[in-house]
Amino acid sequence: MIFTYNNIVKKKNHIEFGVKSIDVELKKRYEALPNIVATAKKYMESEAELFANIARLRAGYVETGPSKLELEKEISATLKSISITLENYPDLKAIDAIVILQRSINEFAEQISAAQRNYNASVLSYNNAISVFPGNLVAKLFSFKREEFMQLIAENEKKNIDVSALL
Amino acid sequence: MDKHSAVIEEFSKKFQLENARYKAPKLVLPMGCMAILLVLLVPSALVFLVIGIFFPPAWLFLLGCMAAIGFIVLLIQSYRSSLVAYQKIDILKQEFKSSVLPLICKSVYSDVTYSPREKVAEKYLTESALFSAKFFESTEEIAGEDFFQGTHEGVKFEFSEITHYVEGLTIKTGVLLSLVAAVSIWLGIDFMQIFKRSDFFLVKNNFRGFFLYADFNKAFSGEVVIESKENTIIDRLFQKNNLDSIMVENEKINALYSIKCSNPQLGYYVMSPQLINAIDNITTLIGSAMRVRIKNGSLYMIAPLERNFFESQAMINGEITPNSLETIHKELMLIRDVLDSLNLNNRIWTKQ
Repeated sequence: MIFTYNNIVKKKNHIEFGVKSIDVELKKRYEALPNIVATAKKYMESEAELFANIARLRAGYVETGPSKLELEKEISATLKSISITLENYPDLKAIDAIVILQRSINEFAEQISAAQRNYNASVLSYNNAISVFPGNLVAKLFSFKREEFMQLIAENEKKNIDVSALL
Repeated sequence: MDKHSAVIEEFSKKFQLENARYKAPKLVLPMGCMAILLVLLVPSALVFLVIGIFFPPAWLFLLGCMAAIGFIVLLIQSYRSSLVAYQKIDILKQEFKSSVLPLICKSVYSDVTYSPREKVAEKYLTESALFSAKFFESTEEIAGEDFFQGTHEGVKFEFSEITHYVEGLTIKTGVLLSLVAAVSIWLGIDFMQIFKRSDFFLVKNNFRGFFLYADFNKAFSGEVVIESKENTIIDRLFQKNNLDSIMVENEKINALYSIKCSNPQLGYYVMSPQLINAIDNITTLIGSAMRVRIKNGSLYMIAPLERNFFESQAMINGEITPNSLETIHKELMLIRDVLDSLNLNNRIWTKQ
């Protein structure tokens, strides 16, 4: 029983560690937002609405709370929009700053995705541990609850984005 | 591909001849029978001719003439056959690799060089850390051939076949070696010079496969190792490690491989869904599980091959069969397919 309890606690700690890792990556992206906007604005003056949206998201940023997840999803979707919109400016592809910008947006997405997958793997491992015997008995005794998987990438990002709607 | 067909066709003919030579020992019995017939044919032709001339009937003379003509035809045919200069298989192999394969290679890869006798740089084999220290105990036991080096779709790579082999004496060759050595010492004459090393030491292949080094185009510090879960004899050749294990979102990959990494987040960063799919595709393509190490922005891959690739011929049911252009082309495409599956040249991901 002690072994099972310790095993569950370790897995729960892994989840907390996973959450912190995601926070670190999100924080990095948040801090880079002004630079991303400044670079993109210089070359994409006609995308005022897009930049206004980013400014709104940044102003409404909260460190914690339930709205944080929604906000992060929206930031992910907006950054993805910048990346897609850039594809419609073939002349910009030769500019180093734009290449670096695209690379940065992609890199942030990759790092956040990795942190999120790591978190979800920890949740899966923990949920399995408290669902199977004898872990389920220990979980009931010590009130270990199932954890939810995280979905930071918004559903609309998975669909084919209508590029014309972004222009 | 058409322009190479003629070259391959010519090679096929040479190999058909070589095949005939290879099968020659099996023809000894019918050839012997024919020789006896020939020996009987000559005297009987002479006898029938003499009898036919001096002691008619005429049919006996005609029979003698026919026997003589038959003999002359056989003689001419034998002479013509002896003019065919059979080339040894090894010479044909070299000719194929030095003149034909580079030609086909150029048609598939514009920016790749091919060296038949070289292998992937030893520093990549060492850096890959895929092999155990035992593997490197003697570098003489690692052989390589069919080395391709260059850039494909912006990805720098090196690829070659490698084999790990051991040499050993059997009881028979051990006794023979002892005898030759003893006689050489006794008589003071070096009889060992008459023999080749391969006369005594037999070579046994432990592993045959390909090794790929490619630029991963992603900068990170740490490593991710994808190891086959299959327990085979060659496992002794591969290095063990104490890294963290992760599970990915593909049950087939989880069943076939154990994925280990310096830290789980790095593991998920490197093992992107695209790379997981690529590993799945390559496993299907080569028909066996492989070992991959992705470390400090480089990818090292080793996978077993069921046969010797990039050869001019194959031994099928004891018969030398020339490989078709399609077969060679397909084998060459393996490198391209592996690199394309990995899709390492993502213009967004770069190490710059």
